[in-house]
Amino acid sequence: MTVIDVSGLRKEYRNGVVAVDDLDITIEGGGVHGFLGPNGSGKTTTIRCLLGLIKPTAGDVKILGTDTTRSLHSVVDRIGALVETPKFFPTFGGRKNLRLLAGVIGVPNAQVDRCLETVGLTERAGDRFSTYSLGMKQRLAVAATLLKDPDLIILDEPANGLDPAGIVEIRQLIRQLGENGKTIFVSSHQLGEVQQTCDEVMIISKGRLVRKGSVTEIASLGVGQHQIVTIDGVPEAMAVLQQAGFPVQPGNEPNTLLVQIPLERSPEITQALAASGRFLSGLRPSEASLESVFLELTRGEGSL
Amino acid sequence: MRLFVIELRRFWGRRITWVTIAVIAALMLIGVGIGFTQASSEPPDESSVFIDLQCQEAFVGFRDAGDPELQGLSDDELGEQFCASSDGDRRFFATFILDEQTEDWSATRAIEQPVNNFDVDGEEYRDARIGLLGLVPGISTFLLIIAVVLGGSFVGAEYRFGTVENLLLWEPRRLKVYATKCLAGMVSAGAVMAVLTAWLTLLLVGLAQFRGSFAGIDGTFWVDWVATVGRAALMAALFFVLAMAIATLAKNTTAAVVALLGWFVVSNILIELLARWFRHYELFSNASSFIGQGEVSKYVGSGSTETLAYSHGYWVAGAIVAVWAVVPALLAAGVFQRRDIS
Repeated sequence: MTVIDVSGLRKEYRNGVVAVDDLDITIEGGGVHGFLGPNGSGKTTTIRCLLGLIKPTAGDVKILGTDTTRSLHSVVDRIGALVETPKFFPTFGGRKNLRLLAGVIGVPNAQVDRCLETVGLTERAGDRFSTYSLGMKQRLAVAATLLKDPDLIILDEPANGLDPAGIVEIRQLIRQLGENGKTIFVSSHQLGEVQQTCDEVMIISKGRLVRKGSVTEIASLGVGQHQIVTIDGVPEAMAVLQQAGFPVQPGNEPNTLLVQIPLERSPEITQALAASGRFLSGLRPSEASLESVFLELTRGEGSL
Repeated sequence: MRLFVIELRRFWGRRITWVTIAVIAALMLIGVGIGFTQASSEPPDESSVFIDLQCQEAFVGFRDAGDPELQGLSDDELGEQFCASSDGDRRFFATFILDEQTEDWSATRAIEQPVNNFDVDGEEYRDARIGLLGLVPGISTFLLIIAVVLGGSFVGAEYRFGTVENLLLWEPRRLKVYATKCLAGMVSAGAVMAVLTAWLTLLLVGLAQFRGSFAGIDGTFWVDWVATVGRAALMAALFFVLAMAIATLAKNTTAAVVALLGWFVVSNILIELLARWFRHYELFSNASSFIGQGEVSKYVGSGSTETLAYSHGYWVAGAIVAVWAVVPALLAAGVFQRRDIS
């Protein structure tokens, strides 16, 4: 079943800024679906349009088969969502905040307590929200998304503000929910998080979808496109290669350069360096990395 | 219904609600405490009748201008009924809890010397009564400011903390959300007004017990009291809606509070200087008139012949306040329905 079906989505603000432009997204039920994009790429605007918080300028949005611009209320009980930062009443405790939300659709208090336990907030549930750390606030927001026991969970940057342990917990929770048959749509600009939790990834840049596929498929797009050169005298070697017309940048490891060139043209690197009296000690293609593909796609708008 | 209950729970779970009630209740206690020290438990030694002639002249003018409630009354009757006062009697009469709508025998008690002179545009007037006159209607009008604060902050806080977004993720039908908030707020603001008025009455009854008299109080008095509290509660509900509408349009509390308190403070000056034709449509004076079953006057004539005359009674005044509240509320609901939450 198609859980999210977005076609031709466009959002242009009054000041003329186009946040989302002709976006098409289709998400089938089950699994964890990543929504990747740099800051300002339109992820949050897209999510807000999905959830009826923002009126799209154009396009159709269907969630669980329902046109959300008209009848979101008929499926909202099946959608749990966290958009950007956690938003609760600061003078109310965590439990009270959740109970207020739960009461809107008649979720029993026992479910509130279960969700608090799931995110590890039971002991602090009675404390005022304003006294929570950023990580605790984020966990309370995640608990709020779970209250409805929803079929679809939409999470916008769920790991924001969490410490490393919290990030791992959230990651495990997302995986677990996905394996239990829920459909998770998670936006992030943290590639590691997406690579480790998602089955499928969509990359958005400047309001447009630039690539969609499984994490493995997307990452493999970058295989062979970058060559890692190991050599002494990186600055000099970099100057030589740039002079020869190669797109080059320093590598992540010491004494390495990253040259953007297909694998079959790698002998040209050797030739150029040798001609200037410099000899490399290693040459290998870069491994499959979502990061390199992401950077390439969002920089060059889908040139891969 | 669930949403309504949730909004009620939120209203009554807010700190500002209880802090406001506590502060006002404490101020009332202090005020009545002062009244306790100023009042006497002894009746006056002698009595005589004082009729404020300028007051009487004004009421004759109202009658002649067509005030339906004054028709059929002679000049003397107007004077005795509306412009008689007492002096030398420093007791607190429980009948003062209500305005002149309640028969107040103490007002007919006599004085020989004028009291409480005051000056208006060079004309000397005398306050025809002394004491804690008309406390419930008068203070209820002032308490409408509480409804403004509560109404403004009820929505302003939602925008400030972003919780309106959370709510819409659970109930996306925005008009329903807005209408429910209005309804829950109206009920709650009315209840706050009723509770505070009841507290004030309780304190004043205590004051009358120890420093005054229950003379003149009968079943009709309490019926009047209930009706007055009901009217005050209704006005509080409408002011809540008005403040909520302004806060919705501006997306913050301060705008609503500043706008309405500012209007409360400067409206009379502005109207006198710039828009005398607007006098009988002014928000607070109509609210005050409705609560106290008073009448609203308007300017008639022009230049040197301009004078105040009867405009309308308290039912029309209530309707005017309703228009003040409902029109902005409809506008705010429309904006809330269409606005992006981001």
